[in-house]
Amino acid sequence: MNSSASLHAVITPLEHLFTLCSHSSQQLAQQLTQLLTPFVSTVAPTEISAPAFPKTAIEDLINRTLSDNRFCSGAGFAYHADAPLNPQAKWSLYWMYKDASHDTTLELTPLTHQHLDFRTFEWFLKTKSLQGPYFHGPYVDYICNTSYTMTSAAPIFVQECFYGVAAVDILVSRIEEEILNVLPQPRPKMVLTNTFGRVIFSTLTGYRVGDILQSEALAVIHQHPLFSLYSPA
Amino acid sequence: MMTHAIIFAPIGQASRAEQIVTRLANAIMTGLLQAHEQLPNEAELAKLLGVSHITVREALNTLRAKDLIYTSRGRHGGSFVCDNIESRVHNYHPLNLLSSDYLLDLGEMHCAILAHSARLAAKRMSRTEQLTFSSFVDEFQRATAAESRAQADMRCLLFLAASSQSARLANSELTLQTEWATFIALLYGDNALHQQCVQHYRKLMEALSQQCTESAAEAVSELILFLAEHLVECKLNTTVSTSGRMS
Repeated sequence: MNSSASLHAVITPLEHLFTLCSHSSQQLAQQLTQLLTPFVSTVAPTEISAPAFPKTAIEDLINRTLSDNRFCSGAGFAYHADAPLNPQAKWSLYWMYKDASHDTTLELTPLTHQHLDFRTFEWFLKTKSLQGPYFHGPYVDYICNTSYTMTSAAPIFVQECFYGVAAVDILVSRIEEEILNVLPQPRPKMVLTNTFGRVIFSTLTGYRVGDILQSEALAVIHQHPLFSLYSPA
Repeated sequence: MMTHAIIFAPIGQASRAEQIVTRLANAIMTGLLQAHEQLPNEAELAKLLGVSHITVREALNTLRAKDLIYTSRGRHGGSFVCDNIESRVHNYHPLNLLSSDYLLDLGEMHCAILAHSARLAAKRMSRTEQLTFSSFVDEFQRATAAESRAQADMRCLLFLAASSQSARLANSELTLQTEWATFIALLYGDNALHQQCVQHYRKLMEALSQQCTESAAEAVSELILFLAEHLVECKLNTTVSTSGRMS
């Protein structure tokens, strides 16, 4: 198999990974919208009182999202609705993550930082302002999982009012694992970046994970709405 | 033999409970935790800090004995931050317990982490991230209370460290901040000092926007060493003072 052909072996699994993660966050957003809409009165929309908040049902949806997607390390719902649904501008985070120490079984643990203020986080702000799905990163998530991470997020609207964000995390190390599963030995030279050229994975010396690609010495092999693949020109 | 000395080196000198006491006491002294603010409950604290309930209880008992927190029972019970800290603060003033060399050393370590973070960030920040950083600096400039200045400063530095795209650098910065931020809040009551820090930040931003790695590293080093030297000055001048908070 020549180098170009072996690189094409990577494309399909990567497309699958990115599409699935994007889909997971959008599906979770849809499910949360359906779950929460009946709680909000159509006549005079107001906030859902804390005791009425369907915490268990929310956590069930998050759990299902995580067990349906083997690439995700964590998922959740960042609640911060706009007025009038949230007159006091409250916020809370429902987050579950897979416990890395339990490799085989799906061990889910709720996030301990319930009071975590996510309101200035890029994945939250961007998703809110775009009013549509957004794929963030790679970035250092030094608050939650302290790892190099990508986050796929989708907004939730109830009564056409912004209600919060559904999100799933994919560790950069997990993406690498997926690539190495299909990339033959000896590894062909390639660089995987996000949409604006931040390196996610590289077999090419001089291109480190986290760098922003600036070299003209590379040629695009494949362009996807969520990632780009390069190899030496 | 050297390898074994490193592998089997003592994990840490202070017990976990002592570490918690120091961190919370410093936060209370410097006003990062405010009077009558409720602390997370015992179970939450144990989870957040990653220690056992017993350790948390031991730490809370010490804080209570030092009159830094009080506990109320009942439905809305819990542990709360005491007020009137100023009157007895000099006994526990966080800087009184530390020597100049300790503070300067903390500054040097902080410098090392942030200088390389700045170097990487200069190359790796996207245009959007530069704008975000710039807005954090604006917020720092606008902040008027010492505590909010300290918080805005912490946010700028954490963002810079995360912009390096290195999880280790960002996490090291976070760990350093647990100590650093509580001290820095003591300095930011001084408007002139705050203004000088803003200047250092402007210089740093300029270097970042021009992707100038060495100027960025230099600018952040100057900021940190400037603060470290003022911490020492503050420490040397407040030893005899009865009031802990500089106003």
